[in-house]
Amino acid sequence: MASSTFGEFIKLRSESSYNAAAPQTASDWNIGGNGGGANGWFELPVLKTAEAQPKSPLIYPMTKSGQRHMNVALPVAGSNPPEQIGSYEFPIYPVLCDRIWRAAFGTVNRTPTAGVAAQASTAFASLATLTTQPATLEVLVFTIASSTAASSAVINIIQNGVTAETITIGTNAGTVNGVYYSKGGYDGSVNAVTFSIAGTVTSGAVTVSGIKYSTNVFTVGNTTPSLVIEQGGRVEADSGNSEYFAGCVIPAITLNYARTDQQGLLMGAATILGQKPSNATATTFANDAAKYYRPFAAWTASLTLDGAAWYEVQAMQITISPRTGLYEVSSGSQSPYGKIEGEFGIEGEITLLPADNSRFADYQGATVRDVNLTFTSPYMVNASTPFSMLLEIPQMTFSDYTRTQVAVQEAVAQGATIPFVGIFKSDHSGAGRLTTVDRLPI
Amino acid sequence: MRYRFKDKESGQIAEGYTVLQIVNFECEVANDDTEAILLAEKSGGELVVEKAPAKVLKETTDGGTK
Repeated sequence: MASSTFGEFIKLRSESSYNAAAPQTASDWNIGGNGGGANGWFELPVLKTAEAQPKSPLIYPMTKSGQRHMNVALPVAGSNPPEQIGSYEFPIYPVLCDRIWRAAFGTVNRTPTAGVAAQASTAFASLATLTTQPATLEVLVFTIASSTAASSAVINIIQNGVTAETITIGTNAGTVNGVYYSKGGYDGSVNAVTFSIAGTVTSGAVTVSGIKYSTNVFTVGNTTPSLVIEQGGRVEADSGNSEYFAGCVIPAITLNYARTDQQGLLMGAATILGQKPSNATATTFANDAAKYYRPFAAWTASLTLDGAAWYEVQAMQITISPRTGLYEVSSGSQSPYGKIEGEFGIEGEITLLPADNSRFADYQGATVRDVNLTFTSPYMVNASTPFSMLLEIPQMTFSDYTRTQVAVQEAVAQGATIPFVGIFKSDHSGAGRLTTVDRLPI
Repeated sequence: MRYRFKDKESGQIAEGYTVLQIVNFECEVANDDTEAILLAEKSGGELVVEKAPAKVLKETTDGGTK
């Protein structure tokens, strides 16, 4: 007996409101005019052992005092407990992890750095090239206006005779007009970037511009947006379908930075709370990670302590805890979330090879230190600007300095592990903030 | 309603479910979207107040103005 093909993927997106209807209805983030944009889909590669696991929706009423309730009454279908549905472990990718950061921190301020790519307003149907080609890698931005309809229309981005990317356009006035982005970065200095429009476009105009890179600063907000997670490839969803988990929140996400881990220098693991999934037709999985973003096991990390290079750290586990929760309600369609009283926290543990008595003195003196952790990719967003992530913990305090020994082959060095806690700092709006530099403008 | 951001030409400010898209230093906010109004004001946006068109005085037939 032949086994069916096993393939599994997840996509995620921000919801426009908690547990919004039709969670499957959205386009990719870059299709701004056609159901994507700020609430569009992102593909996130995850370890395949990770599954979102729905819970039983059954209630066993207790009908007789003193008896185990499951023995005296048949189960009845009740409300679905919003509880932990699992966790996903994933490598940290720029762009693709953006909505995870949004769901954890709550607030983001994005600033694009404008590029030089330009095409003045031209008839949408005849878009063919750029007036000014990008001289370095740039995201291309297509702004379509005044179009009333299109039929199966796409913009093909062509370079060196090859279609590098295809952007799907909507079919009516409400979905054609809007802002569309390329996922990839394009440099037209050697091979010019050209376009072709496929399908039927009846009217409208398009302008094209470029973005070199986007700087996204995530800070702790009062509210966090919830997520929809599409889990594809499960046979339980039935053929051709995916499970769509709506109303998902992330109470904690752990980053594991291990200088010694050759498989992935920086990995993340997010705990997911959410609602019962609904099954609907699966979206197409295009493997954006492979097509537009490189394997990022090659992050290099550097730390500073009070602004100076800090070479003692061998590994760090960092837990970012928004402590967002879902709370069960009696029944019906009430949203099971409440006011969050807990404080956003950044905690973790550092494994270090101490150079002297400084960290031990910090621990004994309850001193706070300003620690920055920068991850830099060998791949460039634009020219000499790499994909990067900067995690700032401006007031880090240490606890329980535990002396250990680190053995490598036959050599042994003095080591230590130190749990840490980030303390609220007003000019960072919290105990920590994250700055990413990547290609995501929205 | 429009809010003007002195130091932000373009980009996005978002908190929770509220997303402000800033184009040419300004973003459009619906009159009844209290979350967006709060976020715009907290983020340093200033409400753009449309000035009433200046009144043009015309000569009247009796030599005065109105």
